[in-house]
Amino acid sequence: MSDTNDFEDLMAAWLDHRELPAKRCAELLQRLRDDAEFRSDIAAEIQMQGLTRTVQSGEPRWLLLEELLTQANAPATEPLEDAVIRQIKDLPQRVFDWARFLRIGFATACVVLAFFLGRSIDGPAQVSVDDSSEGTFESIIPPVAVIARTAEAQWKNGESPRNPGSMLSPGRIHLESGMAQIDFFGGAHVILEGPAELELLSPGEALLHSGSAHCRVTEHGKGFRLSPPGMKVTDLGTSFGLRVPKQGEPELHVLDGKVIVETAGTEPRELNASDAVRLNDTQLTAAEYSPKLFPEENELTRRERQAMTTRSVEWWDQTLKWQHEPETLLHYTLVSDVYQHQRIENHAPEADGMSHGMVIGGRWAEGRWPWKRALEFRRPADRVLLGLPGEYRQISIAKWLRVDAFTQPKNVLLKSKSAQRGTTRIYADAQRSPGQIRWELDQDGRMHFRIATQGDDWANISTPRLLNDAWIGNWVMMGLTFDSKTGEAVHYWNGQAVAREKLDAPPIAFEFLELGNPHLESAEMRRSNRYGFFGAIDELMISKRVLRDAEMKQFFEAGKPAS
Amino acid sequence: MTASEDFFLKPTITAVLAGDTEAYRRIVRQYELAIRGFLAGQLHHQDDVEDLAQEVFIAAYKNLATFRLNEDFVAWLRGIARNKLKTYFRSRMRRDNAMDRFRQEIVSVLDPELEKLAVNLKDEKIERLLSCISKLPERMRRIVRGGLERRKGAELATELGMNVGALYTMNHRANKLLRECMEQTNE
Repeated sequence: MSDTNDFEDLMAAWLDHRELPAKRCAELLQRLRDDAEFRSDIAAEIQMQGLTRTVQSGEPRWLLLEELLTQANAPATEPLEDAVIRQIKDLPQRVFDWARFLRIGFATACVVLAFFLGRSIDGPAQVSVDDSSEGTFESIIPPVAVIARTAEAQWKNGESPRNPGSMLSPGRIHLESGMAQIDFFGGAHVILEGPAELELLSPGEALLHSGSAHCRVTEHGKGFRLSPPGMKVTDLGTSFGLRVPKQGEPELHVLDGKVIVETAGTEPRELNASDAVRLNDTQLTAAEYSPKLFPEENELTRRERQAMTTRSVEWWDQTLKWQHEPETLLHYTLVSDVYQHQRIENHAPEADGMSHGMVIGGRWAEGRWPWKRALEFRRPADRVLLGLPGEYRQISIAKWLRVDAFTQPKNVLLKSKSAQRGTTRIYADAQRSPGQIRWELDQDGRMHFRIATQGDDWANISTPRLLNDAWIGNWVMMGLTFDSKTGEAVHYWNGQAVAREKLDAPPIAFEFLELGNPHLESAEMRRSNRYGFFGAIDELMISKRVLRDAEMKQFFEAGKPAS
Repeated sequence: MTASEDFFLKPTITAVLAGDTEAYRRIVRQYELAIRGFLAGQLHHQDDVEDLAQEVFIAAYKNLATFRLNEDFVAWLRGIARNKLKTYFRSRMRRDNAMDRFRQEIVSVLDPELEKLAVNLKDEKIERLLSCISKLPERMRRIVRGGLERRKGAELATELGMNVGALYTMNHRANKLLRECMEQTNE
C-alpha cells in the first residue's frame, strides 16, 4: 500500500470519519497529483466503497447481502425503474423521430438486402416477416405496427404468430378469415376483414393487395397512406374504406373527413365524406357510396367477445376434468385467487397446504380471458413457492405463460430444491440431490429440462429455438413429460412434441418448487448464473402420470386464447 | 455491443422510440447496476447516488434518439453520468464546506483512474461482489458491515479491539480481496 498515513488520512476524510486541516488536504492532493501508484490505490479503494453500497441498496436480490451481513434490511425505497418511468410519463409526449426511424430502417434494410443477395441472386431481395424460423434478422427489423385485436382470425399457414400484442415488421400478412385490427405506429388504426393481404411498408404506409379494410387515422397520423395497387391514398385525419377484389377494380369510400387520391393517370384529387371512387386502369370513376361494405369496429368488438366467451367456456370444461382426475398433483387456474392473500390455490383433488402457492412479489394482471387472472413477474424478487413432497416415477407438467422480454440469460419455468426440513428452506444452501429438476427457457428461446442424477451430473433434454421475437408478449403453452421407467422425456410447445429423448435419470423428487425467479445458491452465484423471468403465468398443471401427445394437444387446444 | 445486448437492446430502443414508455423500464433494469456502481464510486454522499441515477436515465430517455445503435450503450450512459456529476459538483460548490470541496478535488484528480476502473467493471463482476463479501474472513466482514452502517472508524476500531490505523489497513486488504474475488470467473 502507498504511504500508510497518507492513505489512512485520505480515506478517513473521504468516508467523513475525520476532518483535516487545510494544509494537510493540500498535501494529500499534491501527492495524489504526483504519485500514480497512490492515485491508483485510492481510486480502487473509493470505487470499492461505492460498489459495496451499490449492491447493498440495489435490487431486491441484494437483500441477501443484509442477511449475509446479519443486519436489518435497508428501508424500502421506490425502485429506480419505477421512479424513472413515473417521471418520464410526466414528460411531454415523445415526438416520433421519423428521420431516425427511417435511418434505422434503411440501415437494417441494407443489412437484410445484403444477406439475401449473398444467399441467392435468383429471387427478389425483400424483407419477409414470414421467415421466423431462425429469427436472426427479425429482431433487428424495427416493427411498424402491432396487432391490437382479433376476432376468429385465421392467418395463412406458416406465418409467424399473429395474436393481439404481436408486433409487425415491414412485409406482407395474409388474413385468411375473421377480423383483425392493426395499429400503425404512425397513428392509424386499420381494421381488416379476411380474406385480405396487406403489405406493411412503414409506420405511416401500407398497401392493400386484396380484401377489405377500414382505416381510421388520428390527429397524430395525418398523412398516413393505405393504398391499393395503382392508387395512392393519403389520409388527412379521417376514416375511409378500401376494397380490393382479387379480380376487379379497387374502390375507395370516404367515410369521414377528407383524403387525397392520385393515380398514374390523374392529378392528386381531394375527396370528401360520402365520396366513392373506383380505379379503372389508371382512371378514377365515381362509384356508389356504400359504407356497409367495410369492416366496422362494433362488429369486431362483437365477434371478439363472442369468440372469447366460446374459448373460455371450452377451457373451463377442461379445467374441471383435470381437477377431478386423481393423478393431478397440482392445478393453478388463477381464477379466484386474491392477491391480498398472496396465495394461489391448488385445485387438485388431494391438495395439501404446502401445495398452495405462496406468492412473493408479483402482481395480478389480466389472464387469457378478461375474467381470469395471471400473475405477472417483473422484479427479480417476484416468485411463487410451493411444496410437492414425495417421489414420482412419472410426471407431466403443462403451463400457460407469457414472456414479455428476455432480461436475463435464463428464465426459470420450474425449479426444485430439496432443502432440509427444519432449516431455513429458502436461504439454506441445499445439497443437490437426485431427482431435483430444472426446467428453464434460455434467452435464445430454447427449453431445457434437467434432472439431477447420482453423482454430480444432470440428465438433460433441450429443444430447438421455439420462442422468437414474434412470440414475445403472447400466451404460449409449454409442456413436459418424463417417465423414469422408460427414461423417455418429451418437451411440448403449443401442444406439439418438439423434443423426445431417453434420459438415464431417477424418479422426480420435487420437494420445494420455485416458479418465476429462483433463489440462487452460493455456488450458482459464484458461477454468475443470471436468472430473471419477465412475463406472466396463467395456468400450471402437474400430473403424476405421463400425458399422451393427444392430451397435451387437447390441453393446448382447449386453452389457447381466442384469435 | 454483445450478442445478448444486440438481442435485447435494439428492439427495446426501437420500441421506446416508437412511444412505448414501459419498454424503457427494461433498459433501466438492465443498466442500473452499472450506472449506480459508476456513480457510487465517485460520490462521497451516497444518498445522492439514487437521485443522480434517476437523472441519468431520464436524460438518456430524452436523448435516446441520438444514440447510435452500433455503439456501446453503457459507455454512452456513463458519458451522461459524467456530465451529471459535473453539474452536481458545480451546484454543490457554494454550499459545501471545506471537506466536501476537498472530496470533490479528490474525484477530480482521480477522474482518469476512476473511468478506467469503470470501463473494466462488468455487471457480472458487481453481481459477484455479493458472494465475495460473504467469503471474507469474519473480522473483515464486520468492517465492511460497519462501513455500510456508516460507523466512524474510531468507534468500529474500539469495538473490534484494534487501533484505527489497523482498521483502515484491514479494510484496504478486504477491498483488495474483494477485487481479486470479483475478477475470478469461476469457482
